[in-house]
Amino acid sequence: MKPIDIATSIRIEAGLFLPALEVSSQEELFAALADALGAAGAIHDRNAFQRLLVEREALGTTGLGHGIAIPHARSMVAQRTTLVVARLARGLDFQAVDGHPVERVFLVVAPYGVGGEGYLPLLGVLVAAVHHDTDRERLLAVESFDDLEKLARQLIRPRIQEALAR
Amino acid sequence: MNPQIQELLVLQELDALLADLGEAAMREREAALGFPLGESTRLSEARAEAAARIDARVLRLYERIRQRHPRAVAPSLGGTCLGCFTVRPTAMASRQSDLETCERCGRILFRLEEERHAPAASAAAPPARKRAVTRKRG
Repeated sequence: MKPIDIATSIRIEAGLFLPALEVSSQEELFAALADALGAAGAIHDRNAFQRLLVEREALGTTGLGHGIAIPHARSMVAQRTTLVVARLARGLDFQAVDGHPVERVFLVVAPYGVGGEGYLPLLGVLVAAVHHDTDRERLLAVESFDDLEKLARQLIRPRIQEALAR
Repeated sequence: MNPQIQELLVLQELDALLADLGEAAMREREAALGFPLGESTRLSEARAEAAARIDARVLRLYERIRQRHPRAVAPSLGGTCLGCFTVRPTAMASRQSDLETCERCGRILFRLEEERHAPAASAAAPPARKRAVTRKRG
């Protein structure tokens, strides 16, 4: 399946939807996310990126509550703005704001400068969705890449376009 | 990939994150999104540990380049430095280490997989030129 551009310079692709990820720690999660991005050619170096994710998370949790985490980082090794979505097979402690284990991960990665224009709009749309009951249900209901593509088309893309137009 | 390059890429990521944390606007933006950021003590320690794993000469070279370019280590593809988009000679090497550097911008270079997996193209490449050709300013 070809990668899909959500909006200008923002991409999702089937290889970056991880439907039943078996991890037992944040370290394993970030390793799996870096592996997926490396395999997709979205980053130049998976080790440097994994280390970035670990250190970024140590600065403050990206677990927003309701079982959802949105790790995010601009990276010197990123090629383009990319969204990685993982459904975890088991809840993972993220020291989330509500204390609940994380079951859904939406990772936003972007390069500095060119190609990273969509980073903040995408992050903003996802965070807003977590805090909106109906939209959060739509995030949690994503079970396949087709579902993700539908979510991107119906919710993420229009709101990013609104944000970019402001 | 050269192990020193791998360590440099880690260091570069940590330096970029530290620089971001030094910007009040970035902290405010993160907090507004619901991601309050803590102290950078651990990150600074991680940075020091990463730097300690790098050869002193290479580290000095990196620090010197970083004064001009935050992205001191850049990929090259097809003989082009992706830091400044200059086509570099095929075997340009730094005088201060065995690392490749860009003749124009001085960045430390590492070759992307596509380039490493195309030996035939390299073999067929023309001889190294004395001066780099600039395609586009970075």
